[in-house]
Amino acid sequence: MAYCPCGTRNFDYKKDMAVFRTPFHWGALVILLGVLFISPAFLHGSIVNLINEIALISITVMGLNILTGFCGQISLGQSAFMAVGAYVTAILATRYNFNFLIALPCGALGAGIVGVLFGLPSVRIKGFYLAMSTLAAQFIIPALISNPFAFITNGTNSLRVPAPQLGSLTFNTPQTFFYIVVPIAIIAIYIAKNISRTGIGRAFIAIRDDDLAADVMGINTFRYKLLAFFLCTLYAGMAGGLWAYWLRSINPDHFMLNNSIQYLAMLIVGGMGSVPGAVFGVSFLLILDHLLREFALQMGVFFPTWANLFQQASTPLLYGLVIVFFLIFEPRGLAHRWEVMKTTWRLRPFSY
Amino acid sequence: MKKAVQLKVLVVLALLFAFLAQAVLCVQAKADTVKPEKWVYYYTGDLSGPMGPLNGATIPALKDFCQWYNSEKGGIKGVPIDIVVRDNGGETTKGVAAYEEFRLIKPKPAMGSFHPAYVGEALKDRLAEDKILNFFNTASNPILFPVGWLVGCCPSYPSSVAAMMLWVQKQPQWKDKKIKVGLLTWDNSFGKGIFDPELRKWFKQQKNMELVAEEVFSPKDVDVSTQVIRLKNKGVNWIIDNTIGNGPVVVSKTLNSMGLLATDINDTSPNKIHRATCVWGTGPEVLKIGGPVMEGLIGPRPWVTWDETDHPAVKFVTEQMKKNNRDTRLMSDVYLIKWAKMALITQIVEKIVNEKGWEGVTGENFRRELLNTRKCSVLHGMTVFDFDPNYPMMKSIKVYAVKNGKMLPVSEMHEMPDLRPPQYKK
Repeated sequence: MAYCPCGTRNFDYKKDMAVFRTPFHWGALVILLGVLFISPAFLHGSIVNLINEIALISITVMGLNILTGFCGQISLGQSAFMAVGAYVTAILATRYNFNFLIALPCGALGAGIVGVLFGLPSVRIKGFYLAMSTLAAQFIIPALISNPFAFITNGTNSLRVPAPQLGSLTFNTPQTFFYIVVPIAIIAIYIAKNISRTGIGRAFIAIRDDDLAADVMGINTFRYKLLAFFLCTLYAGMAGGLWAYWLRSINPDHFMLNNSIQYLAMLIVGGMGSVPGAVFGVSFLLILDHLLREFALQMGVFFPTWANLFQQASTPLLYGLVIVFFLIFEPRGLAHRWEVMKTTWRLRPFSY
Repeated sequence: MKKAVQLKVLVVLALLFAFLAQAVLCVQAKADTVKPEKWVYYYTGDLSGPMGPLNGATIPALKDFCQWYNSEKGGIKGVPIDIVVRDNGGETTKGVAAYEEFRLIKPKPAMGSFHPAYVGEALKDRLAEDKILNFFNTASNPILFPVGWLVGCCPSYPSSVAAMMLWVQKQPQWKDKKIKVGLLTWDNSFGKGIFDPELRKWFKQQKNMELVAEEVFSPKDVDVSTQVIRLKNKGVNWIIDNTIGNGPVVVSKTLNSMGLLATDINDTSPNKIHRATCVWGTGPEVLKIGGPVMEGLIGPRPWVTWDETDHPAVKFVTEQMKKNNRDTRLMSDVYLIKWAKMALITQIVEKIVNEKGWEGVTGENFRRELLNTRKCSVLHGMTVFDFDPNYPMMKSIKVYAVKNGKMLPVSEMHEMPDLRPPQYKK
């Protein structure tokens, strides 16, 4: 149970269940959204681009959070499901001239259906075995895109995607694309937050904690596991579609196993099973990666003799080290640290 | 009341100050466009990803060139040149992010190099919208056509295969022999750059030469026996790859382990298979990795190699490396190409400045000048750049072959067959 600030009480069930409970929460939300929505006007394009990337990856990691964090099913194929969404969206946009408002949901739905197919083994297997079965998706899907479906996907050559358009408005810069990706990410986060508070979310959590017990309690584990896979891959498909519009060129190489593992790492660093955790994890690791790359280049300038070593090795090395140290010292993720900070603030000036 | 008046005065003063600051900055910016403090070359490439080890010499090469150019030539009309480099780790997302950073710089860059190929491909529309030219290393037809704002500084992959095979056919030992070619390349967009309809059509038109099979392997593969057996069964006597780094080495080692490796171009015995590679497979790093099994490999190159020690261009660059106390491990293709490209880029910028002043250094002007560069030799003949407004990549090559561990030219510089997609031939 979260502590309320002094003087704040929940007098009814509705208030107790509200996501934003106090006028302060509402005020903070309005200010945050207001600042966020005018930020492209005063932020540098590369920072807006980074925000877009964070929002986009947050959607896919949020999907993974529903599957792994809420429902306890491991997936190592999230990037492949993104590929399905990306290619369905791109094909609809390029070959059938679908507007992005239609192509994006179609891509998400396509990925959701494929995800359910790869989720079927989850009924019989779990843990590492399920990870292996989702890993199969990571090999099968890019191989299908590269070869048998090359006639429509362009195979290993990239498939170029037009910038999304709405009437005369073209979303072809980071500043304009921001207004597509960020609202979708906010809606996706809001839905994920609500899923965790509904009967579906509680069923997911029951399955995660003990699927046998959940079954005994009357939860249809088959249905809920597949639903978790569907929602997870639906999110991945939406992120994939946005990816296609964001980069305006997609290639099977964009959706490799290391991306899937990175998404899982983001979730672990952020805090599994926590909605803000997924966003924190994505933000933290993407910003860290950008900073480390810059650091490596600058170190190369100061120590020219070791420039090659710095530029080639320091980024992956430090990136890995930060994750390892993070897991050792804060295994519950950034979300837990955030909760600790909030509680400390609420209980101030007392430390207990 | 008094406080309110004070507040109003403060607000008015703040606004006035902001307005003045803006005006001063605008004047400053306008003055900057007349003659910049420095001219900057923007580069993003894979420095820490899969191609990182091959691109290790990028920053030293660019820095050495700038130092030499600024001290020896006095910069471009007195304006020193500088570089801004961003590492994208071979990831498209980071490549696009770096581009987004560059495109908003004031004054807007006229050009840059945004590698690798798939980053350039993702930027294709953006470059056209922003009118920024990408002078990079790719020569794949699907990426460069229709001609846009991408120019490759290497020879077309399909055309160079054709040029090499024509050279082979002219060799006395191969004149009356049937050349059966098998393409064995990486299963990615770069590798499949030689799976080209125009190349297939070209092979069909040749006498005594046939393209009999196409096979692929993964960049992670360390053995290609299965593919080689299939090619051997179809009677292939020449295998051509479009790979880099470990790619040509894997093919050569597999052939060697199967007793099929031909190390001498004159060896036309039926149980031997010869190898040819693309421009990127001819670099010194490939020879270092492969060692003796690379003997006999041929490849197309528009640039000199480090093994041509008597060539004035190699002597010049070696001298520069010594001056800068550079490690000999940096003697790579990247070092040479960066120097050659920078020499051409600075030459073009200088020409534009001479004709139109610094205001004229725009993407449109740079693109026009670059695409109209005809047979331009740079840095003591390090390479000859030759472009055409309808042909945004190098047109001519020399055939090189590995002999006694050295990659040396075996032909003169000559124009390659034109294998552009037919709709873009003018």
